[in-house]
Amino acid sequence: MAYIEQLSPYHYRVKPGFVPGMAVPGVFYVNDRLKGLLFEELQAFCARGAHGGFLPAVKQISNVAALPGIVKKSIALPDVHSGYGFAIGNVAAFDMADPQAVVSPGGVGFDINCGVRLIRTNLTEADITDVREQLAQALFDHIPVGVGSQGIIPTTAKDLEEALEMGMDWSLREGYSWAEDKEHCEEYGRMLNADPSKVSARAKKRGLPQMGTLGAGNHYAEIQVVDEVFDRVAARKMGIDQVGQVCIMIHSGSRGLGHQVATDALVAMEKAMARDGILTNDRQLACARINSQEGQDYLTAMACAANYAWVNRSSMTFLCRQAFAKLFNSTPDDLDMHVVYDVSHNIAKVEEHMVGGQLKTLLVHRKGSTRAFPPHHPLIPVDYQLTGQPVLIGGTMGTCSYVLTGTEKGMEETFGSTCHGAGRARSRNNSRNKLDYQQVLDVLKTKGIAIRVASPKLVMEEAPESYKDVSEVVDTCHAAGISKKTVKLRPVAVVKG
Amino acid sequence: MQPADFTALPQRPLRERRSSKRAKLDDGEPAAVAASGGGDAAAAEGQAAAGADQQQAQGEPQMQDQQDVQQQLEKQEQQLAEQGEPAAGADATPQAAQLDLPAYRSAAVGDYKFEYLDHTADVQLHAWGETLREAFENVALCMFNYMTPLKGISLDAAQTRRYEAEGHDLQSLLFNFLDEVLFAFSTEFFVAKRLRITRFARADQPAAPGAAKGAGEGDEGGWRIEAEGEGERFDRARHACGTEVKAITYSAMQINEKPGDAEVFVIVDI
Repeated sequence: MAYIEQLSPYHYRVKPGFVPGMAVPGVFYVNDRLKGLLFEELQAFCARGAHGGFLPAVKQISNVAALPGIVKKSIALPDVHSGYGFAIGNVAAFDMADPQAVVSPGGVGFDINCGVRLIRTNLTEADITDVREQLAQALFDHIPVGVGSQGIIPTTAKDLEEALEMGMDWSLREGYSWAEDKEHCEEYGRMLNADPSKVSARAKKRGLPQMGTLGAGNHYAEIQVVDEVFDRVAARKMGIDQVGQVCIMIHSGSRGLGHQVATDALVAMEKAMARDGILTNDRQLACARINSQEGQDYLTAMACAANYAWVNRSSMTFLCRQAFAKLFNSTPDDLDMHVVYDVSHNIAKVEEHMVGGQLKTLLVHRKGSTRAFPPHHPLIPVDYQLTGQPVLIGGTMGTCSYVLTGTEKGMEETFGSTCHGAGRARSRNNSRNKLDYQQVLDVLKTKGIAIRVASPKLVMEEAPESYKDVSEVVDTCHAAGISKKTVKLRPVAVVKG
Repeated sequence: MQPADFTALPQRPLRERRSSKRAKLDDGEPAAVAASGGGDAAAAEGQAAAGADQQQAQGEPQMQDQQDVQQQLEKQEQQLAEQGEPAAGADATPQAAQLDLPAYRSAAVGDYKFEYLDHTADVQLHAWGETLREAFENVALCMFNYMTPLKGISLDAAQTRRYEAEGHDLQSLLFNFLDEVLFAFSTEFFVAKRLRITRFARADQPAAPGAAKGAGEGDEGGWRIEAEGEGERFDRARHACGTEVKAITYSAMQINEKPGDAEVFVIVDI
């Protein structure tokens, strides 16, 4: 405990030495209410000793700080919790010019390009109150969700190859997305270094039946209304400045394909680690030199998986637009169903950042963390140049979601990254056993939220009580200055797997 | 700035940690594990801590044999206190007296030899058996049960599926085996209600736990599993949806083997 010091009410530093080999300090952003959970994980770990259990997030942040080539610090956002290798909510940047620097699939996460997309409409809450249940049902019918679900967008193996290579350009070509959707997506919906030949046949087999599905777990599609506007100017730029305005939020990733890509890469890199003499504190921190064959293969395969996820979200955007258009007897265009923005929170990107006064090219791993670039950054769309990149923070089932904007301070302190959501507080198993399915549903009903779930057990696992308070997380980020609150959204209908 | 004062959190003496929600342990199990935990020098500290947890978390100490074990563990606790904290690194912390950690194996699902353990974002599968082969079989069933309750699955002899997996050491063998099972589910939607490992080839002697990691090098075909699963295809109309498992991880993977008992811990990504 002597290694952990508090730097401000909002962030703590873990000094090198907490675990062997730390090259840089670790930093985590939490406030008083959130820090209890972090320390509880650490406590449980110490109590279990070496038998069973798992590594707490604080240790993981420190193990990451021991990886070769890491720059500045290993950062954890307020929603951080234990993951595999890297904690979820962990950001780490590696110097691409350093031949020792590594790339790690654990730093991206299994669900490559798990992200959030926000679509606005010009409907207001009053317009949908009567048809809320039908809307939820329509979404549930249109978007495949849950265990064993299969996509309804016709796709052949060749289509899949093209989709992996072209990302949203494929969706555009096939007519599933609008041209302007690309503008409002990170990387314009396509990572250019994608090479489908680097994706294994196994991964493609898993991905083919799942194209256009939502997935299970904490993924969802929600119909939300604007509850509160904190920053009028930025909200107006995004087109969501009316309180009561209806929006749709989709939280989904690259499904089985992304997972298989990550698994394959971990296996390949494990072998490479012995060859290249890379030592880490944790087997799950499998990594490879960025310039090695395995490293490069992973980055291109990751780009394919990222493209797949964007295609997925575009397909679901298409299905949502169809569902709404049908129900309101109108067209998606007339309903102004434009994409506000699409963010990724499990991805590794090559970016330029100022480190010690010098501009460096870094490979920034963001796992459970969203990019939040400030105003005037060249990589964000033209119409958001003055306000900054929108950051979409999904709440949990039945709680609020937020839209934030990136700040300069965030750019300096966290490589332009911020939180991604609520972060879990209570384990799934714990929730399954201790929460009552009917109770959770009743609470949602009293809040006036229509819900459609494929799995009853998931309702308990995903109950808001199982998660940290997203408002706390967002407030901590806001107070630490790494992102700015813009809009708060309240759900009125939820579709979950 | 004051460093966060961990020791200021409320402390309760270890003894009083009980939970009425705890399910009854199988007879003999805790005694076996605790006793062997004390005897195994290599993992003594970690096991003893876990053993102490087990005993503390149990319900009524009415059974005679348990009192004996209790005494044994009290002795172990004393030893622990003298030795200092269990392997936790430089961040020495006081005994986590206020955490109610459930005893291992107390939450076994039905008659199966597996249970699910707490993990913040995902779930840890814990399966056991008399042999490692049995533990591996049970961990695969454990995974299936999380995705859809096994009791809803019927056995269709025509759909029996064969699995094959290889590895370069024991952990990678387990990983690849589960990955193959998951892959079959993701692509063919096949759920096995019963699983039998027909061939379990390992390049080491099943004596020392944890030694398998380095012993697997050399012989290409040294680690291999062939298994047969009986069950049927998952059908959303007939089977209850559980939670989808997305991937197998090496995170905190443990394979513990003793004569007459083996167990496996695997965290899966949800």
